[in-house]
Amino acid sequence: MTPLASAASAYPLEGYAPNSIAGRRYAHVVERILERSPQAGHVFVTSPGEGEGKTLTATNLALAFHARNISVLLAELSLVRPKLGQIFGSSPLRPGIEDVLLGQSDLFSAICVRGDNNLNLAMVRRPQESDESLAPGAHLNRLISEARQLYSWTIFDGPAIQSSTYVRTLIESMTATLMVARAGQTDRVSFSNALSKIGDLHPLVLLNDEHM
Amino acid sequence: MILGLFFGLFVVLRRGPSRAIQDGAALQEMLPIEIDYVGSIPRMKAG
Repeated sequence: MTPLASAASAYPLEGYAPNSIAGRRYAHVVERILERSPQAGHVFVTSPGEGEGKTLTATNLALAFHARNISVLLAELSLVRPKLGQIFGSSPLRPGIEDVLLGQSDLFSAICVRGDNNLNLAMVRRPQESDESLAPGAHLNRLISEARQLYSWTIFDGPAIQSSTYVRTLIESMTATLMVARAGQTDRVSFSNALSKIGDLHPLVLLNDEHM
Repeated sequence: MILGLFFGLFVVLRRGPSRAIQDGAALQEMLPIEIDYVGSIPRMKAG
């Protein structure tokens, strides 16, 4: 795997800091997920709309799994508006995860590793005009299957519910779903609408940026 | 009066739109019993 330069991130990565308040909260989320599936699985992180903290939550959740010495991959499925590059810098690899979804690469070739803590990442290299490659099909199934072979857990940083028609079918392929909202930002109506779309699939719900 | 207007604007901007979810308690009130609320992450400063 190609190492990724580990420049200091401007984002608060607390999932690897178990003694911080946020770090303990992320560790708690990991425990709740492991209650549902103790061995292995896939977690899909989504939100009602954009800008509610999906990427930072997925990243910190992956770090919290990693802090417990659990084999984990952080994979980006927000193909149109990828954000992992803002946290970790651009992927140094030629194939991005979008190439895996198009059947042009295997997953292993699209994985890079963060230099300072060995977190494994599968990032979007080229933002896509649409997320049609997230439609149910052989390439998506292969990606999920390869992730299962390579890692105990994969954390998918997914698209927002209002932004993609494929969120529901993606969730149906996952072990657990974490729906995040942001205090002071997420609108009650849009949250209720999102819940009406995926509530029957029993997502876990997390609130970001609460004033303490 | 101008000070009052500035104060009101400050409060509105700080709280955000009134229809927004403000805290974990408000969020939990919206959740059906079968949905697991796993908690909140406190506001963190970047950097």
